[in-house]
Amino acid sequence: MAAAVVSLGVLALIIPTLADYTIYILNIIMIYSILAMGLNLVMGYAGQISLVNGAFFGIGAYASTLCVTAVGFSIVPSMLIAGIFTAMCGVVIGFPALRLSGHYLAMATLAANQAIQLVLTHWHSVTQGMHGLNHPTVSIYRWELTSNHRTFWLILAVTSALFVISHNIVNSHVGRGFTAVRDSEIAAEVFGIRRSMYKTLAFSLSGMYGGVAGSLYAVVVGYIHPSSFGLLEAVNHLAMLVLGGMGTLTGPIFGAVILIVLPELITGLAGFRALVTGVLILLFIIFVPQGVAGVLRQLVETRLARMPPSERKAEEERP
Amino acid sequence: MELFLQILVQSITHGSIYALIGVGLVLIFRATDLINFAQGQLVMIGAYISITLSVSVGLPVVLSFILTLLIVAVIGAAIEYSVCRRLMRAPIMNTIIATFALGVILQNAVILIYGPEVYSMPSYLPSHPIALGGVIVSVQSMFIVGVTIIVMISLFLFLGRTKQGRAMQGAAENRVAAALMGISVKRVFARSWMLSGFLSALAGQLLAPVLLVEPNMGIIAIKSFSAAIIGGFGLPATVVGGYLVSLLENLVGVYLTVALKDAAAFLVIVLVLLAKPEGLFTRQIRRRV
Repeated sequence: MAAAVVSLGVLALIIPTLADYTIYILNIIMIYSILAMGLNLVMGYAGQISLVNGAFFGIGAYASTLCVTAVGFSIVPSMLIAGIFTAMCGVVIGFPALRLSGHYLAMATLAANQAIQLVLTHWHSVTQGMHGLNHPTVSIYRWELTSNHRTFWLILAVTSALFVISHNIVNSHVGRGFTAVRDSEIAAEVFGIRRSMYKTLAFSLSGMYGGVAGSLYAVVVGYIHPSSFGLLEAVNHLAMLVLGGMGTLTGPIFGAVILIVLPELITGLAGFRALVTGVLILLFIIFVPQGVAGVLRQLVETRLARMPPSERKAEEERP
Repeated sequence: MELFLQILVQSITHGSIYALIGVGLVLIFRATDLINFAQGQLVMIGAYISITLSVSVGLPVVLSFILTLLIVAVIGAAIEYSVCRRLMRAPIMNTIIATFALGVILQNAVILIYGPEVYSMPSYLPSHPIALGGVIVSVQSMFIVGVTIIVMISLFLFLGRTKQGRAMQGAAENRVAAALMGISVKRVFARSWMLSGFLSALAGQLLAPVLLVEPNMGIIAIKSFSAAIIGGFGLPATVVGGYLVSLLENLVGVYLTVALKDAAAFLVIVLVLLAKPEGLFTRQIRRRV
């Protein structure tokens, strides 16, 4: 608790000094880490392949933008509504997951992603289709979010809250139910874990996270277009999980940092960035499938294993 | 009536392409138990290599056609050797992600090398359409259908009557038993990927004069996924599936709206997977758990 307050204080001092573009990158990293956290719940913990996350991102962005522009809500209610709406979409998408697994689920979610992107592109009356939607500057009560610096605090709050939520989910019976379903559906069912409920819950959670991320994305970027929410986006989310480490709490964050920061270090054409992303995913999935977080965890465990038992107990009991 | 016949012609043409790509998918799946999510990109590469060889390098059409087929077949074998062999014991999710990433790599490599603009492939056939009994058919369409029929028949003869073909079928059915019988499973894998590359390049070259050649043209493979799912990943059934998907999407495109044309294929995927995941033509008893 004290650590949190201290770090918050440190941030409050540092953040205003950073350049606008740096803050923008930090915002994007946080938004993508939300996406990765959601996908991690469904893929890393519940073991269900989900290629539909790009679409959830898009649904959230559109839902929230429409709430702000067409209905006139302010950003926080819009974000919540977008999250809930996308969670419901997640339930609908999760329905096929109940009967499918492996390749079939991958194809079904892939098809769903494409279909949703089609809807976003062609439903002119609602989404303005290929014109895209502009997102106005919003404010929370009187505080106008006119700059990236101000938006940073909103995003930080939301990301931290969602991180705490995912931490609590993972360490609760829900999280254990997820991993049970992942590791052996039949055994889980035998133990009374209703896999249909847990699978649906996993998808709807990934939907909620995606929806909230989409809402924040619209605020930060100010303009949304259906082309941003297709297959390439789903690949990016996948990349974050593979690089960062599936099935760990910190993995999504590492993944988001790597995914966003790496292209910034490689200056070049957009195609080059996507190529590097693809190559990284491939190399990691073959040689380091546990991701960065997984490697770190292995290092910690190796260190623990080498200690004599007395020291090991002391280490393990540290919070 | 004429409209319906026109739709039929269109469906048979496009269905042939879906069938070709779908058979490539199924060959790999039956042999190696993994779905090649990069199949569409192999098709795209076939089209690009074909254009490069015939336009930039200036080779005669027939030579560049055949050379492209061989090149992509080799690419397929290279992918098998470098990627799939290492993933043989990996969980399914990893193989899916790997082939997906492969597709991304291939697509962006092409964007880097050729640029994101579209190319148009000069047609290598006479371009005046022929009127056949009330419908207008282009020579390209007839060529596509003709080539597909010939290739399919050859393929089925190969699989059913030759030693290597039967080895592939055996390995697809039971890998361990096949290995015990002296079939080199590694060779079967390599051959499946090579055949699949061959078929994809064929589809790409047949498609190139009809569509614009652009890096995203591989997206057509999703229709072949539908075909393969309808066919339950069985070889002849996938071919039928390809034609069914094409017919369905053209019907939807003409009688409903064009915007929903692509959605029809996706809907097919979801519906078939929900109702009868083993494919419309399989009579297996499903594992009910």
